[in-house]
Amino acid sequence: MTSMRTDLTSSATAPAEPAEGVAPTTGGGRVLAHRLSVGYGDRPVLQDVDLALPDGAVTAIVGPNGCGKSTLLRAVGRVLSPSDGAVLLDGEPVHRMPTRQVARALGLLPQTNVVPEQLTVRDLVQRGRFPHRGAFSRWTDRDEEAVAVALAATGTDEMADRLVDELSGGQRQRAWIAMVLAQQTPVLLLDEPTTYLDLAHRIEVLRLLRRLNEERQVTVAMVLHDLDEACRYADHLVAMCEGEVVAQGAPREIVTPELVEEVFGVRCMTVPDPVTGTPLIIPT
Amino acid sequence: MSITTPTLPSPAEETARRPLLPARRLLLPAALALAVLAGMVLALTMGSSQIPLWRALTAALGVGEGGDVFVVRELRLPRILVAVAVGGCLGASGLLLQGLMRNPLASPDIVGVTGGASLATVVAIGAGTAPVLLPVAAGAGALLATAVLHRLAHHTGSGGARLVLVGIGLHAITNAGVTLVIARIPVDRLGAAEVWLAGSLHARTWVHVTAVLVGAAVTVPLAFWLLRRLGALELGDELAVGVGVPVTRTRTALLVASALLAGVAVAVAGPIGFVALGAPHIARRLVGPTSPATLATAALVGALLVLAADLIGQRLLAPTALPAGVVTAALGAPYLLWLLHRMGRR
Repeated sequence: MTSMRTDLTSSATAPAEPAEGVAPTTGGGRVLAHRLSVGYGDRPVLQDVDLALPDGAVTAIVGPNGCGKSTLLRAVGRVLSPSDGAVLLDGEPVHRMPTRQVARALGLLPQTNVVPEQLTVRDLVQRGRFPHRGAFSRWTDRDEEAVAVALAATGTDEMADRLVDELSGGQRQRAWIAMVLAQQTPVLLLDEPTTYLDLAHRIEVLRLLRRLNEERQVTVAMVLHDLDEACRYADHLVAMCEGEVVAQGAPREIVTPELVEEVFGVRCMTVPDPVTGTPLIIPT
Repeated sequence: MSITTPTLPSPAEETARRPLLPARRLLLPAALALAVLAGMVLALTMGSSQIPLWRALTAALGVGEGGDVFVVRELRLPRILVAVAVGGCLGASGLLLQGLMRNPLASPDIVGVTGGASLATVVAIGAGTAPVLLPVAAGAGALLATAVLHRLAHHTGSGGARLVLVGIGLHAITNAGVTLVIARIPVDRLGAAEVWLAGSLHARTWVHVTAVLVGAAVTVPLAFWLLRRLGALELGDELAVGVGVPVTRTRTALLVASALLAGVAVAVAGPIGFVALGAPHIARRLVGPTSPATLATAALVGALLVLAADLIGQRLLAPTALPAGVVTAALGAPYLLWLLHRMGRR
């Protein structure tokens, strides 16, 4: 299966949305999954999954509940160990690399995180510098700069001295994203970054990720629930069903009524989004 | 369907929960260190006989009247140093365990770690083990209890009720074990075991000082070394993996460090309760989330608490002396009740 991507060149007209596809290229990518199988106990969740995250693109992993999309992301982020196959980072299996070294290339934002009491946004973002610091090393100018850049990029600099547990859902999610950004990784993995957020906050987070991708060439891979949002904000879609990748490619090329019915079991028609031209799913 | 409007914290709330300034995170541990030092000097002058400050200080250096020098250097100084080191170890142990378990009640004296150390120490006393080796026994007991706790109550969500329940059960079992051993202990060693069990700093000698300082010299640097990892681990296991913490190894190392710190303290002073519970809470209130400053503060607060408890115990009902463990229990039990009440309301 070939991975397709749309290049992001003309973003002047709609800065926060993916641009019109130029030339689909076959994506190699720094992060690959090769015949990946993952199971909880005896129950296999993923079987023989091949995946390539196109470099410099936003990838969305979609599928019905329980299809293994979070499992795939967590396996790529080495939270889960494969029972078979491997996740490769620059050709090396991540599960055998020193975890700190992986953490300098792959940033991971899990779905649920714990907020300790008394923790300010700045404290949180500083903890993202972990893979760049030794146990006793001093806080350097580079660390300080990385934190400042992460705060500014996510618009959390104004709330840097506030406590994380008193922020609204959207603000809090931005603070977590800032923490992962401070890690300064070329690749970001996010597990359902918009879940539990209302419409305005969902769009805020997705536009932020889009902008990070365009301005900093960060490769983004995220699990999303909403297919319309995935089509709108991702260059590359990975559709999963029952532990297998059913289709991957640019949304406007792969999202068809047949695919939606196969993956979600919903009969629908697709129409072009009036703003971006990406597919919109209309159940029939 | 409900319409939710974003609620901004009122100004009053914002002031009440304003995060701490970085300067405070540096100055507070320094101020506390001075307070501990002042407490130690004060303790040199106090006891069954009052010795004026200057005479006590010179006697500590070995200069002055023979009686003073003996009282200060052989009776009071070891006792004070043991109190400070024990309190420091307890405070640090509690901070690590509470952070690791993400549960403010996960203190070694509540969840049975201290109980395991007590049982092992009483068995060792009963077997006639030399005092220098008691920390080894206590450390082993604490480690074993921690391993059991970890096995039975690991991964049980943030509420952590199960952890505390398992811990209370473990504590009860080790207490029963202690009672059983006491009933069987040779009469000539019974006194030593019972004095030890009350959590007393009475008659601590330089042997105890050496034992606790050697223990602390190994475990305290380990605790500081693990602190940045703990800071990441507190944010959730998956996030810790994401930033490059080897989670399983780190958790084991933190458990071992916490158990050894508690074990060392228990070995030389007996089970002094509630210090490991309360000192980290005070430290977090004073200097905020996990950082080297918080660990230092927890240790210093612990030192101050044990030192104060011992002084209060000696003076309150003088000439009858109360063990420090009795004083901390009298103050700590109401604190625990208040804490449970406050957690229940959340």
